[in-house]
Amino acid sequence: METVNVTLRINNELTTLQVKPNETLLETLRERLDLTGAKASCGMGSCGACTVEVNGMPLRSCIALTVEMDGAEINTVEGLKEEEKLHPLQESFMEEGAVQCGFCTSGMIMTAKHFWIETLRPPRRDHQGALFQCLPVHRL
Amino acid sequence: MILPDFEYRKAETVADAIGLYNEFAGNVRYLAGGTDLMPLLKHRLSTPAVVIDLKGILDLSTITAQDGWLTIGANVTLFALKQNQTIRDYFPVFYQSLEATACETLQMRGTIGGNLLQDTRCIEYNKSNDWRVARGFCLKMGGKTCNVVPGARVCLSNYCSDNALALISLSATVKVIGPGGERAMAIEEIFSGKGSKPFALEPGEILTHIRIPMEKSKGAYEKLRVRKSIDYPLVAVAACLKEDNARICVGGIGPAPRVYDLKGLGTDRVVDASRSTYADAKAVSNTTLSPEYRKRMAGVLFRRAVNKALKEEK
Amino acid sequence: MKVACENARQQIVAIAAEKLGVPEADIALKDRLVYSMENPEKKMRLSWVVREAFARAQPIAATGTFFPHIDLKREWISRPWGQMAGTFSYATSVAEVAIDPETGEITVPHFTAAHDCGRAINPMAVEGQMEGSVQQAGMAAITEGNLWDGGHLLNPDLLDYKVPLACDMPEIDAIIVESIDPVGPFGAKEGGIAIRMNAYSAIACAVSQATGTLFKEFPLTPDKVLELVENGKEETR
Ligand SMILES: Cc1cc2nc3c(=O)[nH]c(=O)nc-3n(C[C@H](O)[C@H](O)[C@H](O)COP(=O)(O)OP(=O)(O)OC[C@H]3O[C@@H](n4cnc5c(N)ncnc54)[C@H](O)[C@@H]3O)c2cc1C
Ligand code: FES
Repeated sequence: METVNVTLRINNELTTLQVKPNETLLETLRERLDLTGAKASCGMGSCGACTVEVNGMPLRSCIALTVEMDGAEINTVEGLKEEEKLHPLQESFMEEGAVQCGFCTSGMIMTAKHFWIETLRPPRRDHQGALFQCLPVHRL
Repeated sequence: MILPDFEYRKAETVADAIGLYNEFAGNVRYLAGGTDLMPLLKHRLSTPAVVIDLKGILDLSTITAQDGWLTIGANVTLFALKQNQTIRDYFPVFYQSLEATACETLQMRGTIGGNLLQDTRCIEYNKSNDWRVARGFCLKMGGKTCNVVPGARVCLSNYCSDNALALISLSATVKVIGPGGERAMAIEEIFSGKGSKPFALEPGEILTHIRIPMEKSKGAYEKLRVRKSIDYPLVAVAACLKEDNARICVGGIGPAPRVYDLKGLGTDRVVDASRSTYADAKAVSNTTLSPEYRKRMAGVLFRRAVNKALKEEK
Repeated sequence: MKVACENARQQIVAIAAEKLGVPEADIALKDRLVYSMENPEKKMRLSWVVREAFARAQPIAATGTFFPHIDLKREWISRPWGQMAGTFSYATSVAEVAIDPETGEITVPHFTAAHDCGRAINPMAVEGQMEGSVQQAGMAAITEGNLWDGGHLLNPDLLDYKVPLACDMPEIDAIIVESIDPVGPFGAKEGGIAIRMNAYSAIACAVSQATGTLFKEFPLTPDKVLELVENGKEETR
């Protein structure tokens, strides 16, 4: 397989990588860039644990190719906090105890971020092992 | 799960994509949002030499209203369609089917072209390679028998696009361009009716546009599923009413949607037509709920969709 | 965990007492310091105690186990069906269900759960456990189940094995009924399991009452529920 050069802006830092065409964005983030906030769970786009933000929209990175992302702006949960201050969503997840084991939490936060408005409260606490796929409902 | 090896090419025009198709002698898959294709590749249900990304073709990314038609490029995402005011105002059935598709994150990635051309599904088919090797290959994988109905000669996998049903009820047409040229047809004509090869497209053909006649319509979309999100339809009905006529499309059961044209919307007409869905629905045990139940529900959802659309009319 | 912490603390206290030359009973731990209560000038950093332990090849590491005070002979030998627990936690689940008579689809608008968890050390976590139990036992009774074809599992993934989603969940009232258990750590018993034991029963009872008939099998998918609705009608006829 030929490798391909891609340039990504990840959490505000430009990175150029040589990737194989069949590498998913999730693999790139976790295995090359050590950004392990996005989690590998179902690998089939069903659960959302791998969600990151690409060009301002949440994306399930397990079913997206890194080569498709050339020039994209990518934000992961690692880049959410500003200096040492957590994002308000992260704060409210903590305050509300919206975590069980925490595996899916970063995916939840990255999904919720898109739907985040001032009044939003985090989804119901503790959906253990959660599939949180329908956050839009809770946005209301 | 790891993807199989393939090369990646990005097309900038439709001609580009067809050129690449020819260059690699057809051993390719077109890629739009990938939400249907990537899981198929991961399961080794398809192992193309090259994946051709269509997202760079800007012609396919626009929505235009002109000459009495709304023309939608195949690359437009479901989420973008949901934001479109014309769709909200003119085609409620389409808006509702978009809402009912997968979940919002997937709607942001999934395109309407990919949605229409998604492969049919079966509980014995959408599985890992190891699983399928252990179980034995079925008709759709090139095996000799159906794993759901032993002895069956045809594949009855389910076509699960929500939006195809709505678009059919709206009498939409599609434009395709392939190595052999360009053609347009009614959207229901893209189906072959065969589960093993669900689309009647020529090799290499690209779906470029979908066109919906710009007439205000009343409509409703009813979808049966176990969860309220992230669930493919177990059976679904789209109804579109224009004056005293209705076009109703039943899907989620079998490899192609079914269309019912009603003239006159008296209660008897509707109930009669809804009854015929029972005999028409070829349900087998290829998804999570019982086939008999899904057959029965086709009629129930049929009446509900029509009644909901009628209520809206008042 | 509490016992393990106490054991680890004991190891720290022993080293610090020796180093500071005070009796063990006089040692207190606060703000990363170990000091003498009698003479607070006598103090050392906790990290130094940890280092010292490490240098002695006896790093601070402790385990703790707990076994309830039960009469093993009575409970397990003379009456082999006896019980193992030193205490009981109690819970009540109340489910409201609505059934669509045409499709058999169940929705659960409201669920009330009350739980005697002993002392609620972290009430938010206890509520979280209760809500999780409503999801994984209550709502799961409607959606979750394995499907088999001979030895082949037909739904080994998150698409066909249907874990209930946030939008499928009812409004939940989680009521903590505290009772201070004399033996449990800080008076606690457990959080959530008791709801897990009966949330599905509450759903089952509600469905049974609504349809007027009994059933033998979970999950209560709409196809099965529709059958119940129809059987129920026949029975009352
Ligand atoms: C968890 C999950 C749940 C889902 N639930 C639903 C659901 O409830 N309802 C539903 O309808 N869908 C559902 N889907 C399927 C899918 O997400 C959507 O149908 C989506 O719209 C597909 O679009 P895509 O752009 O991602 O398609 P892709 O995966 O890119 O393409 C799908 C197929 O179409 C071909 N293709 C794409 N564009 C073109 C073109 N322009 N010309 C020719 N061929 C083309 C590809 O080669 C491929 O074979 C679900 C998917 C997942 C992962
Ligand atoms: S790991 Fe990507 S959606 Fe589950």
